[in-house]
Amino acid sequence: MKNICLIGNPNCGKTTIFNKLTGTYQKVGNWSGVTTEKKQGLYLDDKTVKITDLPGLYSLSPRSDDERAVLNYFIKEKPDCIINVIDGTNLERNLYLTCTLYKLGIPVVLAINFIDDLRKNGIKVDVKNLEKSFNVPVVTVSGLKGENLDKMINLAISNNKIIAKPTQTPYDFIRKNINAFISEQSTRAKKVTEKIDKLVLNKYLAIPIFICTIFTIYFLSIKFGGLLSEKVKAFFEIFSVNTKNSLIKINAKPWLISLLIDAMLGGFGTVISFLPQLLVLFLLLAMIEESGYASRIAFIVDKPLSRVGLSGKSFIPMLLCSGCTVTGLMATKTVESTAEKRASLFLSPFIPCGAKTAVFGWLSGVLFDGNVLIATSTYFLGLGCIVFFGKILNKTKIFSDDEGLFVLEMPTYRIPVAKNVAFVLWEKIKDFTFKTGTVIFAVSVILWFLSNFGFVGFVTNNKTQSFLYLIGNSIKFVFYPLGFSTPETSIAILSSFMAKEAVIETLGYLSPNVPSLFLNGYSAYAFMAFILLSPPCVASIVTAHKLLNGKKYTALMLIFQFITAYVVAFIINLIGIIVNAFGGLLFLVCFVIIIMITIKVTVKTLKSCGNRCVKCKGNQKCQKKSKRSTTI
Amino acid sequence: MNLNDLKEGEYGVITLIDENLYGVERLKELGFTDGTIIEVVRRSPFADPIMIKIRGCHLSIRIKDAKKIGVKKVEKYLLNR
Repeated sequence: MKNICLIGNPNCGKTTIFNKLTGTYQKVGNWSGVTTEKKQGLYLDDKTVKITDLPGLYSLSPRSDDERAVLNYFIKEKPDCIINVIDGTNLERNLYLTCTLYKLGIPVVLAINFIDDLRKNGIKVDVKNLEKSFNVPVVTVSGLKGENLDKMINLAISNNKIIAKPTQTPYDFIRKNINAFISEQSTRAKKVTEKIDKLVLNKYLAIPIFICTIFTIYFLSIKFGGLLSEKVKAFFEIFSVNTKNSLIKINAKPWLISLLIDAMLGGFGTVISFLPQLLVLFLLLAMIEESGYASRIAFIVDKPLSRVGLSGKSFIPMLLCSGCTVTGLMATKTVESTAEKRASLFLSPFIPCGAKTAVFGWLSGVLFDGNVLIATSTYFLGLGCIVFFGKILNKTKIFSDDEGLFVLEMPTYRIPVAKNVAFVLWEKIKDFTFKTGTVIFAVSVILWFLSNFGFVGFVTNNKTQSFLYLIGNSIKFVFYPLGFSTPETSIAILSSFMAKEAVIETLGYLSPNVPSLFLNGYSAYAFMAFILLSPPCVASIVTAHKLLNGKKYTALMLIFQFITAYVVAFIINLIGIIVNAFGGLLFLVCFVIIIMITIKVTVKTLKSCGNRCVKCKGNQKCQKKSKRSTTI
Repeated sequence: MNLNDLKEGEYGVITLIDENLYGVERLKELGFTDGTIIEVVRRSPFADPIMIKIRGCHLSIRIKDAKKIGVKKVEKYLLNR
């Protein structure tokens, strides 16, 4: 068995080559002890050749998780040959990694990718010269067209040449020889990219164009995808009703019917009904990512988000969370910095998802006479908590950026290739269905058991005998400081972890008079705040767990979200108690103080960034002024 | 003069990178070495980060990092020679 691996800079076309080489035989393998996904597969034309696709990297120094994983791979698997894939349109930067490969002592083949692009632009690559300089075989390939890939593999199988140890620093060496390697580096695509950027990143147009794009993604994936999901759900309902009827006909036991219909079919239905929404979402995201616009979005919104410890790349995940937290959290895969990814996973669920919005709509109808402001205010409560708790998280060790450096590559725009998009789509959907789906399914069966069984066995109509009710009754004291401590609300909170919309069913089913469950309006609002901020549904928690890489962080996330929810709900309840005890006057005083503090903080924040970005937009004098003021 | 002092469309030559900047090695890998020509392409609509062109690649970096990269301003016509 020959063991060959592909390495290269991010975005140099490795994965396209990998997919061409291995076809449908590829499988995703999570390796033990490493955090990043690498792909392995067998070469289509010769099954004795194993090919590994490693994450993109700029050098061999183990600084990020990705790079450590790559080094571990070299130590553990000892590949027979490395194929160093090089983006021919960015030869200068890409050759840096090549220069450092001699350290590994493993034979190398250089594959200059995007040769079709270069040829179209009349750019010539001097293969002979490259071979002479690096002392290894060089081949020009096109991953997209599949050109020369067989030649590349054959070279790799027979090659035993190692990169020559350079006599000068890598960039000096490259600079000196670059004109001998390639006739020109600027392609037409690069010039077109510069022109597109001039438009989409224009000072005045950038934000409107960005908002339009976001609106389109939001509308299509949440509205259109949601519509498709509804259709699937409706289909499942008809299907389960029919199955139930036929089960009743054959006189099946009631608990068996409940298990099959409510738990198993219901759980399966939940998983499946996520799929259309995810499909639309991933399709749009893959297109935005493939085209190169995603980096531009990150470029535009980085500044506001960096203030709360997130980065430009956390924007899309947060946006998607307003539709469904699961889809939003899945999108954090594109956030590279571990600290920022963690912060995104911790904070994004504060944005009310579709199910939470439904709950708040229902609750404000039952408790606040359908006051629209109450339901809408939850969005602002969520956003406020992201800003406030984001700042706090940012102060802690595990959330202060581990890289400290934000470098974002702005790739050349490319028209998305249907096959690539489809491939990414399939991978992600498969991932969701098998990894996340199985857990959702299992948990819904467990919760079904708890809510339908008690010490008396199967509970048919008296829900107060079920295990869930007993648990709710025994934990209700926890919520006493928040103003709601009835078994019903406790159960509603517990069942909300299965799916947030379960709050409606639970409260509506268990209590004929919902307002009587709460002390007053404030504690009712505290309940809403708790539902908003407490850990999201099981599906979301599982998704977050898969992305957080480590039980420790999942536990920390749950604790953080629980404490946040508890504290915020407690404060709301406390305000209620103060207002009720001392009347509106004291509240007015408190309110004025809070407003004054808010104004002060806002002014302070504006001042700290103001000299540059608010008043004069990058004026040089102002920066000097701000520098001087900080030194004094 | 530091990288953040260059205006849009201006060119500079890297003279010094603050060795205390966390991730300075990463910048060097990306080609931020002494004597490299760098162009500030544009600023983000919120003024930070800035988009630069170095060794034929477009990258964006935050102002706080750009402040730690010393440059000497160069006129464009001198570069084309």
